[in-house]
Amino acid sequence: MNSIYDMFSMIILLSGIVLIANKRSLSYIRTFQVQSLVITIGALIMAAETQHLELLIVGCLMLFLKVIYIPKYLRRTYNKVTHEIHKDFYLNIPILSFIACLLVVICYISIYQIPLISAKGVVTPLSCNLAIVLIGLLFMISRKDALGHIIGFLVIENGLFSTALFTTRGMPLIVDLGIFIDLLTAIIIMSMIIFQIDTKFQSTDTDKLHNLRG
Amino acid sequence: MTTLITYTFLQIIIMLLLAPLPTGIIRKIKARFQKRRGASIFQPYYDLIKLLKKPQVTISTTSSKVLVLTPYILLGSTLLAACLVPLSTKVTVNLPGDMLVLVYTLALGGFFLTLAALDTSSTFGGMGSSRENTLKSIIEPALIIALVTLAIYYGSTDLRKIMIESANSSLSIDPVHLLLLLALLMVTITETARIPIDDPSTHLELTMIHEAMILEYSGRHLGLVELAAYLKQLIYITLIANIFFPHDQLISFGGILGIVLSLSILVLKVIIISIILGLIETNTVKLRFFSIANYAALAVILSLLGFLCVYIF
Repeated sequence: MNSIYDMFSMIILLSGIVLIANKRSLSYIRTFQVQSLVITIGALIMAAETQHLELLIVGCLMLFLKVIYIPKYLRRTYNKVTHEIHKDFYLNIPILSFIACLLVVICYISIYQIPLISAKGVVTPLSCNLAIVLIGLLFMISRKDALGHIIGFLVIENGLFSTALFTTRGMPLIVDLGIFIDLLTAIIIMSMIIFQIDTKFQSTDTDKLHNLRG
Repeated sequence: MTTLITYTFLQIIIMLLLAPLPTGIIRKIKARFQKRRGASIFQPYYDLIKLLKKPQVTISTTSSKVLVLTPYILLGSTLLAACLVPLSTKVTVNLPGDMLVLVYTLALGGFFLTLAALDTSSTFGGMGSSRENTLKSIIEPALIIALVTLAIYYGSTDLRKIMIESANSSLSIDPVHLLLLLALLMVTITETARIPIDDPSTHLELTMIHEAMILEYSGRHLGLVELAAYLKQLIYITLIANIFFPHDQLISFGGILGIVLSLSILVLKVIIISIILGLIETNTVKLRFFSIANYAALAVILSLLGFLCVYIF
């Protein structure tokens, strides 16, 4: 049974790498959606296996929030933002994906140093999912687009959730609920800020925030 | 020795008969998705027979022997490569050669094709061979890392041993397999000049890669070059089908019946993979030439992660 969760971790890691290699804002959103869907399926399978009601509730919430609602909201935001930016990353994609690969190795090595964890056989899920957190950070700092920053933030959250899910069978329900509500508020506020940036600066490029106005 | 010769002969015939089928299926799927009825899936066979019946005409007076010899060298090396792919583990004949021989035998034909394209010194030929070589060199790391990883994982570079080991390992899905499968699928799409990389159905000057190289060929020589391209596609598809989706552990009995059953399942798998390739082709758009580096980087990363998986996870 453990190998299924290894597999899910690997698919999630794969979606992270694909995310890094994506070029357009709409494909970021789609990749994030697929990643959330994979985590949701993992959570539901685990709920069926362990018979935990909490996991089932969290899985359903994930499905509603991260697979359906947030991507739809972000797409709407993207369609309303009128100014597109063209080259929106600092390094080119091959270098970024090699850095992502390096992050996986770093995660693995640092986790392997901890003696108890390496004995317990959760090395693959733990290192893959922690690598997702780092890949989300890398994604955030490598994109200039404000929408990319939101996706990076969401991917970090996905990574934390899946780390908890695949290594310790999920966090308590109350913690997850708190995180989801925080996430929803954060996304709504950030989308509003994107509108503000777009109308004030005629672009969602965060590099241009240095420019003086007035 | 005689069994080896008989077996090789039979394998060549099977591969030749099966070779144009994936292309026919992919075209059919594509036509269906475009709301057309599309040609029959046996259309590539008819085209091939028509081309092979025609006489060869070489108009160019400046080209050398390379142009004339290349179709034969290409088809010969591809046929040699086709002999090296094990079709079924039920056959107990040990084929000579391994995966590295396979890859570089295929590369030999490709090398001569680029030479032939340069030989006529037409502008498109030069452009096509330049692009083809660029593609080959940026996608080759992915292919080689993936194959070497398989060799390390299963302890042999012999494709037949890899197949047997893969069939014997448990049926649960393996992360290494997933990563290498995706990498090899991306390599297959590149090597067989399918859509995200190259559109085989256009002769649009600015985007064609493989078509630009074979532009100077007509008649029987064109038929040979096309047949070699179909065979190469079949080789990659068979490789994917046999390594990642082994089926021989499901057949308990041996003998002639076992071999026939195993081969028919193989044909079924080839059809399924062709359908998947067709679906990929209808759902993606052709990449800009300068974006192909990103695609290749993704393929290399996937096989590199697979390699790391073997060692560290």
